[in-house]
Amino acid sequence: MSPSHCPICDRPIGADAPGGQCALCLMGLAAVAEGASPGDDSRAPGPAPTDDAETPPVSFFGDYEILGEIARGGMGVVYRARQVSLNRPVALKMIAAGPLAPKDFIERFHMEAQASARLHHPSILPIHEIGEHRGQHYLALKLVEGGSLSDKIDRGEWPYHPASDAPSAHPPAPPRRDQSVARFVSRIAEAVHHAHQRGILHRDLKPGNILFDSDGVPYVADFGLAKLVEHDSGLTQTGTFLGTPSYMAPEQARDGAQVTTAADVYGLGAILYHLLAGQPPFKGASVMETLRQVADREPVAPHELRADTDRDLETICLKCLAKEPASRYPSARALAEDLDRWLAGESILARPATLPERLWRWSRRQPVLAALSLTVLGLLIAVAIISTFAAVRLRQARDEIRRAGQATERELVYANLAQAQTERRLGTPGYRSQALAALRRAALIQLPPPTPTVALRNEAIACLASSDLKALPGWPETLGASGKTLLDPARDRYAQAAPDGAYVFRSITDHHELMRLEKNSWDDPEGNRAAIDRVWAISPDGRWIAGRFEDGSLRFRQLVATRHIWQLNDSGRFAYGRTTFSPDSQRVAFPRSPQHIRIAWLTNGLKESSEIHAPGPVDRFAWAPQGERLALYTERSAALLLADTMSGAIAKSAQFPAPIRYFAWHPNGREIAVAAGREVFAWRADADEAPRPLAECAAPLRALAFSDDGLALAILARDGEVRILGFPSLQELSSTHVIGETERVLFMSRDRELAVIHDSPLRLSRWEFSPGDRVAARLNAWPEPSTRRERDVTTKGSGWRARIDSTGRVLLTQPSDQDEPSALEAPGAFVPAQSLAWSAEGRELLVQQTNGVVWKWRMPELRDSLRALKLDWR
Amino acid sequence: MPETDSSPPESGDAQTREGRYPGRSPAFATTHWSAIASAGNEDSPKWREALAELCQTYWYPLYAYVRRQGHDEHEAKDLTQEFFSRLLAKNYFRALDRKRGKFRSWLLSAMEHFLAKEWRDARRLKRGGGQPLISLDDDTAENRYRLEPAESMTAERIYERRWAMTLLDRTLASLREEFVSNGKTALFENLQGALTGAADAPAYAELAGRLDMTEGAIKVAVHRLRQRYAQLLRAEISRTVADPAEVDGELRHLLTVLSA
Repeated sequence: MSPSHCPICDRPIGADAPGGQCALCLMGLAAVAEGASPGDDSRAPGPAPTDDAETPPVSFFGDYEILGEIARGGMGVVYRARQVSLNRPVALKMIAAGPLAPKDFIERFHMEAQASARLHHPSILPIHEIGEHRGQHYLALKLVEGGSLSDKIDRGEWPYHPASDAPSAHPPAPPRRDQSVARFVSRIAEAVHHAHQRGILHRDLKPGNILFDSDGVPYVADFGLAKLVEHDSGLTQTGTFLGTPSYMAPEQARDGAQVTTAADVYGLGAILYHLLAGQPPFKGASVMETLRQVADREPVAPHELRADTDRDLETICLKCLAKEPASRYPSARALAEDLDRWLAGESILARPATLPERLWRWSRRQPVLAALSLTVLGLLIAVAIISTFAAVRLRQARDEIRRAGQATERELVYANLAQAQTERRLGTPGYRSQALAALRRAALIQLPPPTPTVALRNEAIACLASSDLKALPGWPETLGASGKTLLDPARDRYAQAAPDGAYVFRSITDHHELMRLEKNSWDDPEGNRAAIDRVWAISPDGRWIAGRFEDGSLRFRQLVATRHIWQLNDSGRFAYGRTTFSPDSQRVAFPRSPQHIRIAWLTNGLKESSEIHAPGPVDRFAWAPQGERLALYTERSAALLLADTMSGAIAKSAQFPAPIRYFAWHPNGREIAVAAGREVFAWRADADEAPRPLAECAAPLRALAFSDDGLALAILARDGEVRILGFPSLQELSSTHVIGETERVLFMSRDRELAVIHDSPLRLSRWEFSPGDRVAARLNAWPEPSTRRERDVTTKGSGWRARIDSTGRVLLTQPSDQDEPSALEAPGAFVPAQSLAWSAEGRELLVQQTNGVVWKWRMPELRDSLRALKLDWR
Repeated sequence: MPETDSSPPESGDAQTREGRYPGRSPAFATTHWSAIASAGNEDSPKWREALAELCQTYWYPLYAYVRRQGHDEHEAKDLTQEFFSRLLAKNYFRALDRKRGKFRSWLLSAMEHFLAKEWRDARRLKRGGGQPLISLDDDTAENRYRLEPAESMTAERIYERRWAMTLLDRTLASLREEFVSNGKTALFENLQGALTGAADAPAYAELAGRLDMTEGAIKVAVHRLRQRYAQLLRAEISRTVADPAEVDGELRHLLTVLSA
C-alpha cells in the first residue's frame, strides 16, 4: 500500500493500519463516546446525523452528540450539541464542580436548576434538562447563537443605531439609542420580574448573562446558578471568588447571603447604566478596588460620560443603583413600568436625588466619617468659643480615625493568616509558597499590641517543616528529536540541532539563543574541515564538547575557541554516544569496543591514560563525583562494577536481584543509588557491604537522581510515578505523577526545581521543589542512645527551652522573648510528643513521638527561614 | 521444569485449541482481566483457561517486544511460547502482584521478569518443553514483525503500540463479526472505510448508489457504525483493566502511544 495520510489528523497511515484506517482516529472514536456495554442495542436509533464524511469522529455524551465548543467560563465549558433522541440542537453546559465542592453543593445546584427550569418566559433562556452523566453534572439549554450582550458591547454592535428606523411620530422623542436601550432593559426587567414572582433570584445580572438568538431576541440566562457555582463549587481561587463585581449590588458585595430582589433591580440598573454611559458603573484596577467603589462611591452620572444621555432615563438608572435597597424600585416590574412611561413620553416616577438626600445617603454609608465630620464641625464651632477644650476633642477625633485604620489592618493580618492555614490544610500542590507568601504579607503589617505574631510564626513553622511539589509550566514547545538535543551538565542551557545542521545553545529558562556552532566550523589541527553530525556530550565546566562527524570520527573541541580539536579516526564502529566527561572536565571516557572503556586526558592533546576491561558489553557507565572511579553496568554479568580510572583495574562489583535500569552517584562519591527492577538500592563504594534496599515502587523504575546537596533522592518509575525521598533518612518528602513516556529525572536550579525529561518528542515537566526536611527531618529511631530524654529541656548556652504540654504539643520558648511559646508542628497527622532532647550544642531539637518517630528540628535553618519571613524571635 | 498434568497432550490438535480459545470469534470473548486478577484460586483450570484466552489475544505485542530485545525469530518464538506455558501451567508468577494495574502492564512486567531471571534456565529445556497452550500463529508473526518501524522505537514502545493496534484490529473484527452474523457483510465491507473517513473511502453518494440506499440512510448507518465501534472498543479495553473506572485512563494512554 502506498503511504497515505489520514484526512482527519493528517498523520501517515501505516501498512499495518486496522482496515487501512488511521489508528489514532479509530482509538479517538471511543475517547469521548458512550460507555454502553456491548450488546446493548436497545438504544433508540437516532435520526440521520447532519455531518458529512469530512467531519471529525462523532463524540457522545449521554444522549448528546457534541458538535463543538462554544465558550468557557466560570460555570464550566459550554458545547454546541445535538440531543440525539429529540434531534434538537442544544447548548450543553458542563458544570465545573471540583473535587472540593461541598457534598450538599450538588443537591443545592440541582434544586436551583430545577426551580429555574420551571420558568417559562419568552425572554428567559429555557433549561431543557438537568442531569448527570458519568459523574459530570450538566445542563442542556436552548441553543442561541447570537452571542451575549457583553460580546455585542465589545464589538460595538450595541447599543445599535437603526439607521433606517422610521422617524418617530412624536416630535419631542428622545434619541433613538436611548429608546432602544429603554425598550431592551424593560423587556429584560419583565423577565426578571417573572422569575421573582416565582421566588427565583438571578443574583448575577450582567451583560455576559444576557444572550441573543440569531434573530436578535434577548434571553436572560443562568437564573440563580452562576453565582451558586462561582461561590460554592470550591473551584475558584482565593481573591477571585467574587468574579467581576462591577454589576453587583453593594449589599451583595458585603454578604452574598443577604440578597433580595432589590439586588437584581440593581443589576438591571447596572446593565442600563453600561448601555447609556458606555461602561459599567464601577470599574477599579482590581477586584478589591471595584468592591470599595461599589460600597463607597456614587456612580458618575451617565450624562457626564455621554452628553446626549436623556436626564429622565439617567434618573431611572441611578434610582436602580441606589446604595440602600429600599431606595430602589420596589420591583423589577416597577422599573419596567417607569421605562415604559418614559418611552411613551409620560412623566416618570423616579426623582433625582436632592442635596440633603445625598448627604443623608452618604452619612448612612459612612457612619463613622459622617459622625466624625459632624463632630469636627461642632468642634470647629467650639474652637471659636473655647480653644483649649477644642484641642483635646480634636485629638480624640484623630485617634478615632487612626483606630479605624488599625482595625482594617488587623483584619488584613488575620485574613492572611487564615489563608495560610487553609492553604496548608488543603495541601493543594503549591500551597507551601502560597501560605508562606500570605504569612510574609501579614508579618509586614505593623500592628500595635496585641499582635498575632505567635500564631503567624507557628503557622510558618508548620509550613516550613512540610514539603511541597508545585507544578511549573513545562517547556512550551517540544524540543525535537531526543537524539539531536542535549542538556548541558550544568543544567542551565541545552544544545539543539537547527535545521541547517548547526548546533544552537539556548538558555533553559527563556530559550533565548546563547551561541551557535555552525555545522562546518570544525577545523582539525591540519586545517581539514568536517561537518558535524551530532554533539554527544558537553563537559561539566561547559568548555568542551564531544561530537560525531559526518566522516565518522569522534572529535573534541573547546566550545569558545576554534582550535584544540582532537579526534579519533578509527571511530564509527562503537557507540561513542556514551562518551562522558569527568566531573572536573579534565578527562573523557568513551567505549573503545562494547567491552572496553578508554579514559583519556583532554588537557594534553587527548592522551590516553588507561583502559577498563569489562566482563561483558557495558550498558551504562558513570564517573564518580571526584573522578577517581567509574561505575559500569554490564547486563550480561548482571553486575555493577567499580573501576579505578587511573589503572583501569576493576576494584569491586556487586550483584543485584533484577536488571539495573539506572544508577546515580551520591555527590559525596561514597554511595551509588541503583534502580533495579522495582527497587532502589544503595551500594557503598568505599566499604565492603552488600547493597541495601532503600525503597520499592509499584512499577519498574526508570531513573534516579540525587539533588546537588545530596539531601534528596528523586525516583522515576515507568508508570510515571515520581517520588522524592530525603537522604539518607528515606523520609517520603513528596510525590507526583507524570503522563507520557519518560526518560530521566533531575534536579535543576540549585535543587529548587525538579524536572522529568520525556523523550520523543523531547519535552520537560517541571516542579518547584520545597523540601521540609531541611527544617524538620524525620528519623526512624533515636539517633543518640546516650542523650537524656525528658519532657522539659533547656539548652545550656542560649537558654532556649522546649517542653511538652499536657496535650503532647512541643512548645519552644526563647529566653529574651516575651511572647507566649511557639508550637512546633511536624508534618502529617498530629501525634503527641513523648520526649525531647537538645543535641549538637543546642542547634538541633530531637522530638520523639509516641509512635516512635523522631523529628530533628534544625534550629539555625528554622531561624534563617523565619527571619526571611520577618517572623523570627526577637 | 516439571510438566503439568493439566496441560493438553502435545497431540492436542489445532481444532482443540480452536475450540477452547475462540480467538477467531472475537465477539464471544468475555473474559475480563478484573475477574482474573481478583480470583482467589489460580490453581484452578478455569482460572488458567481464562488467562489463556486473554493471552491468546495479546501474544503478538509480547512477541514483538521479545524480538526487539534482540532475539532472533526462532528464539523469540521459543521464549514467548515458554513464557506462556510457564505463566499458565505453573503458579510461577504468584509472586507478581496481579491485583495491581492493567493487564497490559502486568503482562509486560511478567515478561521482563521472565527474561531477566528465567530465560537462561528456560533455554536449557528441550524446545517446547512446556505445552503450547497459546497458538503463536507461526506463519504471520515474523511477517508482521518485519513491518514494524525498525528505528527509533524501544522494545517497550513497540509493545505498547502493538498492543493498541491489536485492540483496534480485534474491535474491527468483532464489529465485522456482528455484521456478518446479521447477514450484512456487504454493508460492512462498504461502510468500514467511513469509520474514520479513510483517504480512499468512497463518498456517501457513491455508497448510496452502490448499496441501493438513500444518502440519509447511509449517514445513519455510518453514524451507528462509529457508535458501535466505540462501544466495542471500550468493552475490549475494559477486559484488560482491573477496574472499569480505568478505561478512560487506559484509553488516554493508548492515544498517547499512538500519537507518539
